Amino acid sequence: MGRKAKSKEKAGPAAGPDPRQFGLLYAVGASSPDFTYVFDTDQRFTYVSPPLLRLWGRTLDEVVGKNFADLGYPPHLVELHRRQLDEALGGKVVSGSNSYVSPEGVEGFYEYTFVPVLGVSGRVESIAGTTREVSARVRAEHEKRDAQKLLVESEEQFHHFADAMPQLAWIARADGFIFWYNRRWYEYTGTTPAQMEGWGWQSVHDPHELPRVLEKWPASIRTGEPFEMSFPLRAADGTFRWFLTRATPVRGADGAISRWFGTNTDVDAERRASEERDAALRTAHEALRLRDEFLSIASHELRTPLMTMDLLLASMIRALQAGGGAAPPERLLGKLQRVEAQSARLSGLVHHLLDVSRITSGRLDLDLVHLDLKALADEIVARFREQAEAAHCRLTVSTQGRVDGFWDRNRLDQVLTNLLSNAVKYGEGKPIRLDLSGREGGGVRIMVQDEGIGIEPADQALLFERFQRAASARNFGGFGLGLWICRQIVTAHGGEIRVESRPGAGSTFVVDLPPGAPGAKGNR
Amino acid sequence: MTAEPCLVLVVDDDRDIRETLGEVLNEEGFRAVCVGDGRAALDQLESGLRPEVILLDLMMPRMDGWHFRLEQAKRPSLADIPVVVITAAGEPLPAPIDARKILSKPVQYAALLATVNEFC
Repeated sequence: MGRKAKSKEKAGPAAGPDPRQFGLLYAVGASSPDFTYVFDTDQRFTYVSPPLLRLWGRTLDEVVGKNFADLGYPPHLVELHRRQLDEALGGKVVSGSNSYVSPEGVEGFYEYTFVPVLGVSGRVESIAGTTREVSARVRAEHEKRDAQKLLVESEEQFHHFADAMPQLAWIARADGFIFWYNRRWYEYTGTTPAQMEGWGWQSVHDPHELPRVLEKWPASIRTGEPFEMSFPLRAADGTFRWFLTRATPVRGADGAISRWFGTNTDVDAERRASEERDAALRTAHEALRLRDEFLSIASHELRTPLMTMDLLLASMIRALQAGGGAAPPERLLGKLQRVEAQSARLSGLVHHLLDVSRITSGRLDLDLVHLDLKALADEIVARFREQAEAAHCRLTVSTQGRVDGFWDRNRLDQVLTNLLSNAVKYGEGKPIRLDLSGREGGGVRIMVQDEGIGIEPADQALLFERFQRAASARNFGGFGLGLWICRQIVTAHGGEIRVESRPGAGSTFVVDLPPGAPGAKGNR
Repeated sequence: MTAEPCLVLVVDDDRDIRETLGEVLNEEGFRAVCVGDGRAALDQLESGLRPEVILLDLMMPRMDGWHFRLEQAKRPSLADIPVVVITAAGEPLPAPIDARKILSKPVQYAALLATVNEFC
């Protein structure tokens, strides 16, 4: 066939390139990986470069004088090329692309151009063609397209999945710009996509917590580190709930981050429960600590009068056992009186314990009766006279205006006794004043003033707390409960107690009591 | 008992305890000197008082028992005077103290006499 075709081609009237050009064509065609070829005006090949011959698996002789149909091209390509060559014969440059399966069954992709070759007469005498194999590029494009399609599909699947989640979820670009939120996000925040897009999510954050988020989220975007933190988000109704937020980078084939997938999980209930647990635990620990401290102080304070009584009683027994002059009655009497005093001290401590128990269990009942505070104060001061003299303190009482009201007599006695007892204890032998003054609109102000050692400012705040014995310098025995009990009693009366003091200059305790009402029952 | 009564220094901030200890010790033939805190005890010793034993409370104002013991140990002429701690602090003590003996309040009469007699 080749031979015959060749002779036919050579003999043909519109025969292809003349032999001089043919050598040149052959050299150019052989030196390029691209395919070059020439058609005559009958659309038959007059020249085909070696690379194309290799693809076809044919020799030049076998193809010269043949058209696409002769060469076994599939009908649709034969038809396509026929039309394109017609156009080229009409003087146009025609380009196209197609795929071709080689005899070995390998599919290749090609781009080609048919160019009309004009003779001196200006008429088209032949058509030159070049074809370049672009398989690698096309395959890469196909792969990219497939990958994108896959990504779109997987994102769509993710959207469906994320819309069904109970969590809030979103997707951000690599630069952190959030372009998609799930349905739950919009339901919870009551926002619209337009409000939320990009960095619009800031509007549903707590302004106090936002700076923390604005520090950490961009840092994750910069470094590619997974993001995790808890912060509150505002619900549609304006309330805030805490969410645990996690965002994970999704990387492309090249390793670069293409997306961030984020979720916000409502942890408000857990967080609240844990806070409540912690608070309950702290309260329980504090109660245990107070109890331990109380037991330790109680045991310390109870031991002292016990030891004194023990020693006095033992010494009396020994003296009586020895008989005769070893136990003169006046000496025994003195010791018995001191045992009695220790017993009183013990009962005082026990009363304090009972008061604490009553107050902490809310059973401090007040028996409100009409009371003239002046009379009560005189009575208490008379009781203190001896003790004050022993401490070299001059004790004076002054009264201004009406100082009567409805109060619990025994409890106010307790308050005044406690305050005066402190004043004598810490008064350093200097004058002590008890001032009572009626207040406008009823009620009374009680002031107990000493000029003794005073109280450090830091200790003043703690003074009325339970088990506080301000400063070791004031640690002269007692449970440290006296002022706490005073405050509880005053508060139960609807009043207030406070202290004004300067270290070294003395202390003034001020109690303000409302007038109270007959029959009213104070309680705590 | 020698002709000269054995000298005991009682250091306790509680007046009732202090006075009672002093009284029973005196009745038992010792001579008790009683002070209300560590500072006063140190003053007594620095003024030349040389007791055979010091009965020392721990929790006291001005100078507590621990502080007193450290100050005493610093002074070579006083360091060797034996110290018996009598405390209501309970076991274990809030802080350790170097003492010949530690008694917990309330201390029984017999135990008190036996302890003082060890040093007199």
